[in-house]
Amino acid sequence: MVWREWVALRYLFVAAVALGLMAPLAGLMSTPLGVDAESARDMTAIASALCLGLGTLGALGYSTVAPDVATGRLGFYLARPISASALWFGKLTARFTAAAAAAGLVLVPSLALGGQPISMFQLVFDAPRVLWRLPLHSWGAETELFYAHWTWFRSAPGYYNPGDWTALGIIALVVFCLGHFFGCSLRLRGLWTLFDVTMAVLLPLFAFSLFQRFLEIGALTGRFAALVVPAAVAVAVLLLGGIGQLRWGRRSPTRFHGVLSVMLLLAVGGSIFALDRWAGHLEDLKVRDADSILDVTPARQGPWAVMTGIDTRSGAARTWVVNTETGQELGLGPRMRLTQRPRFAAEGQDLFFWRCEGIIAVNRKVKNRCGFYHLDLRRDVLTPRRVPLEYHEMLSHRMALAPDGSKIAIQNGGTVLAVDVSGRLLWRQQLPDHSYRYGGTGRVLFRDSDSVLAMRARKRLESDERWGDPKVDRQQLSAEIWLLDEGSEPSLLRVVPWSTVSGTLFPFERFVEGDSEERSAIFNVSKGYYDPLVNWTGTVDESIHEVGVERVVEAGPDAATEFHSPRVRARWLVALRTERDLPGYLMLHAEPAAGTVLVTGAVEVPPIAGKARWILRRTHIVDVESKDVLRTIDGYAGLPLPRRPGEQGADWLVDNRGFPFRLDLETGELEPILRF
Amino acid sequence: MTSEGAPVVEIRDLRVHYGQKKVLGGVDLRLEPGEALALIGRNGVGKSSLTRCLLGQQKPSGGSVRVFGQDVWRRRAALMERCGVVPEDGDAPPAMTPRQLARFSAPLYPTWDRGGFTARLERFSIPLGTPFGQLSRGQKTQVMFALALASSPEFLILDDPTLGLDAVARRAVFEELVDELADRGTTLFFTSHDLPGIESVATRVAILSDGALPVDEDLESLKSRHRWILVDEDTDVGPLGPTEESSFGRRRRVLVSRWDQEEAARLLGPAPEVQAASLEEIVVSLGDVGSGAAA
Repeated sequence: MVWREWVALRYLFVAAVALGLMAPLAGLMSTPLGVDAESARDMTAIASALCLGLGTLGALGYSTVAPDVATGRLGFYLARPISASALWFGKLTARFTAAAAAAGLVLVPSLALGGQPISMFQLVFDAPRVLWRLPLHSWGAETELFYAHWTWFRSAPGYYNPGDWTALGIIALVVFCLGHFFGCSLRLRGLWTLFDVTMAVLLPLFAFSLFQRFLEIGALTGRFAALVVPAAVAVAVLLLGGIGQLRWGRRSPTRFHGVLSVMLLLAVGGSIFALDRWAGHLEDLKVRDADSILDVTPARQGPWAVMTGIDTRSGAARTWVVNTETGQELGLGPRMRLTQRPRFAAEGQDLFFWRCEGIIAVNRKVKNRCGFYHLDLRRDVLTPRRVPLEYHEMLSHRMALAPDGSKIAIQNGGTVLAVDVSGRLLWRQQLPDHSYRYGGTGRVLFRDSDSVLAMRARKRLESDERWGDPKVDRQQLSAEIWLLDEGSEPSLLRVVPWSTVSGTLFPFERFVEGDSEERSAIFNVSKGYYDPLVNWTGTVDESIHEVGVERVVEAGPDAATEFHSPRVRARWLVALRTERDLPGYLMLHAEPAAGTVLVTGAVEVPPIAGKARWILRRTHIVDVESKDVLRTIDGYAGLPLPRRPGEQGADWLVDNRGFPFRLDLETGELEPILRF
Repeated sequence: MTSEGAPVVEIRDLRVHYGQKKVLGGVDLRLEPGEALALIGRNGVGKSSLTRCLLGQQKPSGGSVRVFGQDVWRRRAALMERCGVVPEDGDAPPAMTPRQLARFSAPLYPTWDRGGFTARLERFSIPLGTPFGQLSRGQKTQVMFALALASSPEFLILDDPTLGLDAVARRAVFEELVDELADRGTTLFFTSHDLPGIESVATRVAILSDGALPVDEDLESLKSRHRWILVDEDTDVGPLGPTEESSFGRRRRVLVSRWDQEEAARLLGPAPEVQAASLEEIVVSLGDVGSGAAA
């Protein structure tokens, strides 16, 4: 079969040889043009080989079987003891090898003259790679995924980069398959051609619609699958479907064409349908379906908690508002996820949050897709609030709710504004501009109901002589603390050193009964892993020298240090590591009962003996007064926001998947908060 | 898997529709080993459709087609090893020469007769090195014929193999066929409009008309019950089944389809004037059923 096809394609080889002889001629002609003759020859040879190979494959795909069916010549093969698969794969093998051989023949003259045209191969491939990069800037992360795969293909080790050859193979398959598709569609014209055209329009539309849904769900894997799976399935069907066409279609042009069209519809449509079901599942993801819960924010009072979970296979994240007593889950829209931690008003019945639908692609206009919302949990009414913010400000803002729940402060870079709960603007202040602002690291806190403390990080570049090169710049970070309120200019309270390593500003205060005035405390713990340096504390005018330091917890590598201010009777706990190079973190979580705190230490365990890297977590229940570790619970951590004694969530721990459990301080036993 | 003792061909209730158009409306046909069946019928009556179904190249709209006891649609590739096929139009790849065609075909058949193929082409005076596409229509048919016979088939299927051939080529084809049948006892199914040729080869004749086979009979039987008789103008030949007649003077020449010696003696006397009828005369006498077949 292969030989018979090669005989039929013999003129292709003649053309290849002729084309190959053109390359040395191109070399001769290039000299007057000022191009290196050998490079011009080799470049011409490899470009000609690729063009001939791929062009031939397209043409051969077009003529694989369809013309034989159209002219009735397929009967010759069908009247012989040749199975459909032998016939199809024979033709495929012949055509691919013929195209490869023709491409190889083009290179022979250049190789014979001592050239190295194959070394130019990568150069040729760089051109489409540049083109490939173009959509990266307009189409968002999914093209990054494409590009990652492309890079993966290219990065396979070996001489002449076999990854390039793999990519070329895929391109060749696609070209051939397109040829076969058009061959069947155009040579066997009929109603099925109309069907093909319709499907060629509809199926990509469905796939793109799916892509949009996955985009809005935020499922990167799904987005990639929505684009790649239908295309891969179509290529597979076109590549293998010839067997079905020969088996079921045989000499009938209508059946032959119809078999392919139906197979394509079933396979591609089936894959789209499966992806659609998957998208539906992700859109309707329940708490119980989540692989892990990323964040739990209980109201300070009442049964409600906000949970954000993720489906790790797809990367889709969802946020639910859950009644922890009844298990009721309030729908916030099928494609709902929160981009910032929500805020419960004091009674725990009003929830304020920022919501964006899906991940925002760079090129998409999403002005109406991010917004500020109020959810009245008493009536399950979700109300959007108009906030005077530009869309880009919504994406990277910080938010704080006033202690009385009447106002919301929002910071975005140098802009700080306060709105009431209906979204009405109360005041807006612009921080004086500084160069080298360090985006996305702001903090905002209500000092009291009228004034707001805002932190803005900034960086400046410094030369570091230690590197032996004064031109080498290192980032030097600092944080400005501003006081803002209505009717007066922003006042800069302090500039403190700040480091991304330090754990940033640490807003934890140990809750002392009757001491709620200290809510506005802001800490900065520099070099916080092991060095108990406190640069500044939050009563604004205090400094480190006025703050007492006392270690209150020490359990192996985990420790917590208490800072206490004699002036204001407040005490704050800061978690610190005792070992300098220990990877992991230590966090203070809550004060489930007065005088008792939860301290969680987590250590990253490197992969051992084939086992994946994992996190070893343990939570210590500590008596602050006696500094005793009352109990250690392995595998659990506390909630990331501090809780006062008696508040909702003060006695909650989360397991390794992030699902919350209630801790019995007396027995150390854990009871699931949510029962599925 | 061959069913031992099964007929070579067993067609039951074969139906073929093209959209609303019914071509075959329930054909039954059975062909035993060694039989040579000629299928005749008007152009477009469905002979090629029936042949394609018989070759497993076309899926019937209904009914079943079994060859050597097996469903030919499902087991086409395996069954074709035992079949030789000559299509209506030479459909071999035009770029291949007869020599290349033989080289391509040889590994496909365990009983390939390389010498026989070459000898046949030499008898037909066909050059082995000329591309198939450059051969005349008659030569193409002869090459296909040689290819079919070289596989030493148990069952030979020919779809109007003499279409477009000159008289000499036609005769050569039928002579080869007769030799093949005499030497090897190959079962034969063929369609043709060449009624004299059919007469020289076929043992059985079936006429396809209106999607059915109104005539399916041994050639000898068909011919033996058809006779030309010369009778007086007023002689009653009704019991003998007159189908066609011509008058000259007071005499009539009548073709009867139910010739019976005793009945003829009773009606016509002890020494009637009787002549044998040719297949062509018989087919033409069948009117709408057979007239096109004789065209």
